[in-house]
Amino acid sequence: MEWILILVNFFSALLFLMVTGINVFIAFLIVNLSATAILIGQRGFGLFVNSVSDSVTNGSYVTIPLFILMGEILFRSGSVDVLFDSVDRLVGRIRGRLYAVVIVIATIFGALSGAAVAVAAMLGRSAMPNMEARGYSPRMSATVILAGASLAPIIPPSLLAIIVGSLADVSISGLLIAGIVPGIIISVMTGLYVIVSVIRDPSLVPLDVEEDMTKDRGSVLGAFVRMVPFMFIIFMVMGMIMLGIATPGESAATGVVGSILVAILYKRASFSMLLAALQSATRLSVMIMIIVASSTLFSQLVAFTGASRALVAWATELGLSPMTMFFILMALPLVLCMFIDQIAFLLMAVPLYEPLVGALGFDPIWFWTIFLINLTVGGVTPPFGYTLFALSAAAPNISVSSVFRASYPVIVIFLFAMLLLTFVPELTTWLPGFI
Amino acid sequence: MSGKHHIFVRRVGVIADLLVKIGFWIACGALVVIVCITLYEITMRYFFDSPTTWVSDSVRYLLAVLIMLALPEVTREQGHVSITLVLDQFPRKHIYRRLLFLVSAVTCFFVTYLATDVSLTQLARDLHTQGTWRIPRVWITGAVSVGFCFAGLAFLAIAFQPNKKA
Repeated sequence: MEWILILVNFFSALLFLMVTGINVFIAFLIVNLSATAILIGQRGFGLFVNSVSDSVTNGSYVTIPLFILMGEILFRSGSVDVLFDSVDRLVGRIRGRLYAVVIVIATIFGALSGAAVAVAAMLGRSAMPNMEARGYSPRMSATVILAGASLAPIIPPSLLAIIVGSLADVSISGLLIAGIVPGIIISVMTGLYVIVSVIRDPSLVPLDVEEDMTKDRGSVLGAFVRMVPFMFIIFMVMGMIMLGIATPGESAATGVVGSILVAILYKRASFSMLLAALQSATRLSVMIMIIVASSTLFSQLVAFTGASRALVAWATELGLSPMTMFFILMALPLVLCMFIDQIAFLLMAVPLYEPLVGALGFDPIWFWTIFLINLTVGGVTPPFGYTLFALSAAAPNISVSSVFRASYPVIVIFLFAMLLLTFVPELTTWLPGFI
Repeated sequence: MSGKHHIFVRRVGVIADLLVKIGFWIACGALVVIVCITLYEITMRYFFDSPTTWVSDSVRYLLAVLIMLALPEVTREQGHVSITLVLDQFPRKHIYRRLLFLVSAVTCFFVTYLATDVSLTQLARDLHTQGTWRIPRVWITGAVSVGFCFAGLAFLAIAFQPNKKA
């Protein structure tokens, strides 16, 4: 059982270093360098350098900065305000209409940005004050925003899906497309939760529907026409992947161009905005990619020690049913992602999970999609979920403890969705089947 | 520290800051080029039925440039991901924080040493990358070396000048 000792040492050292507060990529570097010295010796350092070089020249990862740049241009140009106004107009005269607006907006934003934190911050700044001013419940508003923001890493383009696809050698296009139906299901479930909550407690919404309406709302047709360019971007990204015209990286580049065209169309484009978006996208990409590059050797070391093979043999000998194993595999990220960064956990878990997924006969698209949703829950789980803090920072009127309480229904909704996707795998695998 | 020595250290710091900024702008430029040549590839492939042989490899090399040359700037701005649960308990100038930056600097310098060693071997053996458009491997490993070296310097600067504004 030497491999268990090695694995425990690997993970303990990594977790300890991360808890000290040292940068995640430095934690990976220290563990990888130490493990290389102990397991392989000095000649292994060449392997380490090659693993970093190979990671930073991995063509699959080009998609990450491009998708980030696309989202940055849309958010920084303020083009999303047009989308907000249009959805606001299209949602009818119903009680609690702003809850519905936020859910629809968040679902569309999910298709325009791969980061939950960005969507939470944006909705926290734009929607939250408006909802508070109109008498909506701050806690329910926070719940709706958190649920909506958490769709971003699931609905394509998802940065986490690209990393999983590259590490686990699963079709990135398939993983990206697989997130569409689960994303829509979760947004519908959030909508149902709001409806039931409002029926049970009418004080959650303003009593006067007329007061709740925007003064100058324009025509429905005008609102629809204004949304068309955004649909065009979504087509440029997802449509081109599904039609097999472009790879995920190429579709991301067309998405960047689409976002610039939309900004020009809405007269929101400027050189300074593009420059700021470019700088921000570069910074964010480096933050993600340096962790990936520093950790790549980790998976090779796990394989080198024989731990991957031994783990598969051990799991097979346990004699548990695949479904029981599935729940055990899913319980780990659910708990650990409350405490550690999602990408860091992803990079630690994929090398161990990948051989098990094959040995247990799971559909890789199905497994990794549910795994990604599971990781997303970590972002909204107190006390360390990044998305929670993004919303708190963007909406200072609501206390951190209220944001924490607002997250509980979101966690329950996501867990229900995961159960549904687990027992009805076609919901995840149907759409990727068309690629 | 003598006055002359102090001025020398400050000048080195200014030059290092400038190089970090230049590296960051080259990284931003690399991202723009990635977008442009990817679009060129799509256009050539679908409208002129004439796919290029150099775009996919160039994009990979540019990604390396982007990551490694922007790394020092992100480090200088303390923009890296970390779990701040314990860290938040300590004030900005606390020795614990400075120790972590020092450990980070040492780690980056060690990676620089390893990458430089490999670069020199690749240079001596005239090794090239794999792909249809090949370049000397030392260009990529050299970028890794430069990126980590300046990131190490940035960590060192933060460790010794925790109050300096990014």
